[in-house]
Amino acid sequence: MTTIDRPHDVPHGHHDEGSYLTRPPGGVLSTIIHWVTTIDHKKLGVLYLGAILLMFLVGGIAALAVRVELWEPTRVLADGTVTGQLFSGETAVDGYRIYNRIFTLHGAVMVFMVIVPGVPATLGNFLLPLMLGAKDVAFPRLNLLSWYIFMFGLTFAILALIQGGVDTGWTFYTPYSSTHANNEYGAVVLMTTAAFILGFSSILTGLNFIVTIHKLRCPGMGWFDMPLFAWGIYATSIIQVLATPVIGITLLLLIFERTFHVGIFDPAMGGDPVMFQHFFWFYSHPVVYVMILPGMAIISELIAVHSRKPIFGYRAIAFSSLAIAAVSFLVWGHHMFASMGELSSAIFSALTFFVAVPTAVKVFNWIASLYKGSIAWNTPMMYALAFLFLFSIGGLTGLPLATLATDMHMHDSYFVVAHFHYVMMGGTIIAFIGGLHHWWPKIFGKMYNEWAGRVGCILVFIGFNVTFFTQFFLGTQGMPRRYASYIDEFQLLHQVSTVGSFILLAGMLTHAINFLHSLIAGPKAPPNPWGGLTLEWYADSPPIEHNFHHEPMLKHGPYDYEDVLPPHTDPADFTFPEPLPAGSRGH
Amino acid sequence: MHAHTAPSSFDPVDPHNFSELGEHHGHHITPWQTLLGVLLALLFFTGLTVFTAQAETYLISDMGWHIPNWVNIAIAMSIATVKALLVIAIFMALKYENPLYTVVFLFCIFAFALFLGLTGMDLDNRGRVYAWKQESINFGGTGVNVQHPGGTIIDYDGKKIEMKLGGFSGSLAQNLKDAYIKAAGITEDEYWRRWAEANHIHEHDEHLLSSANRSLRRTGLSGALDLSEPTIEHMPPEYAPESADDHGGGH
Amino acid sequence: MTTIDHRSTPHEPAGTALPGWKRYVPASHFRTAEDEFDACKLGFWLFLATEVLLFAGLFCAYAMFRMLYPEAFAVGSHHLDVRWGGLNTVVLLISSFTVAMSIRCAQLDNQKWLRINLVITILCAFAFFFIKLAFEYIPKWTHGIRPGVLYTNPFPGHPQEPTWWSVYYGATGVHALHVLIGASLLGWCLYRSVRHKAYGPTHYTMLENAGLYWHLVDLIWIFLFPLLYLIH
Repeated sequence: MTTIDRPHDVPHGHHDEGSYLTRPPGGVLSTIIHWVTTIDHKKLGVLYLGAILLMFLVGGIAALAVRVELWEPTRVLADGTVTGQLFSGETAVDGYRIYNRIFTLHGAVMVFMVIVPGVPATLGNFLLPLMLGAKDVAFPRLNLLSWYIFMFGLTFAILALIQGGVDTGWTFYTPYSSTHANNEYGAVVLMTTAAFILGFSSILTGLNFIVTIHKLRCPGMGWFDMPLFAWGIYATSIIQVLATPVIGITLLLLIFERTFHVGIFDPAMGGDPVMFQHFFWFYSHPVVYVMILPGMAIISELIAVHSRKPIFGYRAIAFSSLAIAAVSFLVWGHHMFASMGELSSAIFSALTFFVAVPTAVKVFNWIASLYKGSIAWNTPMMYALAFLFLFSIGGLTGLPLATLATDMHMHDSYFVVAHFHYVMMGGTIIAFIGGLHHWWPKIFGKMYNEWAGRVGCILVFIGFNVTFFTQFFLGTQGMPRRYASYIDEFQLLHQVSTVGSFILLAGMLTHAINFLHSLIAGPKAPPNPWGGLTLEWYADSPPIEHNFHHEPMLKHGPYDYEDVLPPHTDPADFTFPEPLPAGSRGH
Repeated sequence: MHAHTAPSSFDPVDPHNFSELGEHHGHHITPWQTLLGVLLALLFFTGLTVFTAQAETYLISDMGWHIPNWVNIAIAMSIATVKALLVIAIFMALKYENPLYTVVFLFCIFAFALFLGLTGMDLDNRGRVYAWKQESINFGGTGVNVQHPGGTIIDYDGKKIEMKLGGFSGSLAQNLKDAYIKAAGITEDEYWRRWAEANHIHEHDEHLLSSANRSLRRTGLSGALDLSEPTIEHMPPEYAPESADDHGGGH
Repeated sequence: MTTIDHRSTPHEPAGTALPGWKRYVPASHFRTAEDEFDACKLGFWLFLATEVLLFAGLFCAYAMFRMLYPEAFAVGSHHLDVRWGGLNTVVLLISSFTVAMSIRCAQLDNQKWLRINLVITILCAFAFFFIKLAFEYIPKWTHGIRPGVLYTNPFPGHPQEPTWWSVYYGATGVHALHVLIGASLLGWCLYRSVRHKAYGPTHYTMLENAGLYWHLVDLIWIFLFPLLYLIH
């Protein structure tokens, strides 16, 4: 491919330069220092990936502990002994207190430390400059600062965990969190401080990405020549920048409330505890779209590449990302139907129905993209298809929760738990794992074992559905959420759900082993194993330090399969096209 | 850096003319007369907003006009908005910058407006369907003892006094009154005399202030708290919760 | 080697004639210096948006409690002296003017007046703090008017007045913190200007951004002043 040397380009990219992963000369200590002081977005993406996968393990262990606790309801026998508690104390209530800390840990870790930073900080950091043809993000040192802040927030969270954790639920509702709640060693303050600090990391990352997309696209790349992954990251970053400061001030006020008893959330001092919920959900609803938009962005890429077909409705998907970002700010009250007045509930319910529309637009466009495509049955594609199925269920089950009449009955039940796990895990995590497989060869230069990947995907899919589909039934039958014990009638469904969670574990372990094995002994990956047309596939696998040998100039759209790559062409036979004649690409 | 070709021709180095776009009008340098003019305008508007607030008070208390509460907010906020727009447009040079920054700022204001608007919609309309939801939030709601650290304060006569509360429930103000009566060793009547004095006059900083604040009459209060003619008989003996149809009475 | 580098403070032998702003080299991943300046400004406006939304929480708390307890707010507001608040407003407005002038001086390579204007701005910040502490916070604190449960004044004019004082301290406290941050940023700019003549017509990004931050601090006060001092 022809690329252009800019006059003031620093000449770089000797062919024996090695990739960004090549160890610099020096001992182990100098390698560590090199990595933790890097401003290279690729290394930062890998650093984030390690931290996030570690926290995913922590949150996952907490989830398994929750499910094991729920295998049996707590029974107090005639002689006063308590059975059926995995975490038990002298009385049943002691056991419940420990359970409360564990589900809070699961929620807080998964939300603040895995899913919200998840895709943007890892895949976003790594891929965005590559996809735009840039050398790095707009503010590389700010990127490093973001990572430092992230790790600093993690240490606070781990400190809180060591202190025994918080039992308020990840939503920190007042007045429990502001006046009661376990407060040995200030656990509530520690955990809220952790979330506050992590918020800053999120803001700075989002800010960096917005400026990168505005300013660092390579020559020839207009807004509508960007991959849809970039559009998704752009919409995500807008939400991050606008919504995260509000959780910052909310948690700050909660910390003041806790330490100085300021009284704004405490009815004893004339405050309003529901106001905390308004403040909290003004951020936490848009943040669920921060979680899903990058996942959707990944799916656009996976579907296009693995069906070897242009995405249907590029502009529709791009604008619907922005529409989701905009509408997400209007609907936070639907988390508070039981605590708000009726007028507000009715208005928020009506607004919530609107947010489903752009999401549905995307799903229909993806399905249309698959039609008459050349579908490859590899792990990323299987995950993309799993996403379509699972996310649709999640989205559809949101509708009875948006409807006031049904929500009154299902509020705070397992129906809600199942719904958000379908969208958050069945949506974002599924897309994340799919994206990891898709870009693994690019990031690490090694191929994973395809059969192990497929087996893992099937295990994850089956395990996920067994775990969470049963929870819809539990919810409609009345099982409340966050309860450590329940009536005997629910036991069978709970046990099915617990079995499913272990199948899910098996699937995740399969992937973990597959990835580790590929890092250690996997075959070397070619630059473009899947035949993708976006710019990251034109870089080496793994890329060199400055991404491209020369600044790329875009010559075709991100999904121009029909123009560039005829169907049934093996990517191994793929030869780069000649530059198109001047002026022939109309914009 | 590159040949300046006519915009319609295709430059393979830069097909979208990014560098042309980048060379906008150079950095705009605001003339110092403009900056000074804006400063003077801002100072004028500051004076105006203070004047209108005090004029309104005068009209209500001394001329007996009935001016609804929202007028005060509307005037003050309008003037503040004008001042803010001057600062944003000229001092922060948003008027001369890439319109993208204006879009960023407008989105931010939009999110701000949504936040305040919809939260306010909820908090103001609690009683729309069920009237009992509109009742004011009463004290001692959780029934949990709040720990008060106590402390030494300067009394109304300039001397120090130690206030001790410890754990309390119910109204903070009520508890403070009881603690003060105990700490100062006075009667309830004497407390109310001192209270009337304290809420009219700032004795501790009288030497720094003029009588400006002293002459302001309190308006917009509910009947039980009318202090236009303070006498001991009119002092509310205890802070009773307000009834459902009188939620604040301020509107 | 992509480790942290100190590109913007190049190491030059002492006694070089070139001022810092002429020696500045933009980062290599931007096409032009203009691009980098625009990108930095866009980034900073985004950051200002986040600061505004941070204060949005405080303004929302103010608005909600004012709606719930209008008398308490009216009574409490009368304990604030309009003249000190007005003086603080004037001080901040003047400082906004001087910081805009100092950016203008950078654009015109008037190093002397750049520094003088920055010094005046920082002095205004100190004045703001002094007025706030000496005439507002400390007299109130010693009389027991403190935030939250620390409120120890035995003569609240309205039972709900402690809530008003919590909102007051919260809003002005967070604002004062931002004044401190802004003044520190401007102090850093002053240092760099004195030491390296770091700001000039072709490079004054840091000064511009610090100025924008200062204007934001002023903006917040423009709204806080009427909301806290001028209500009845």
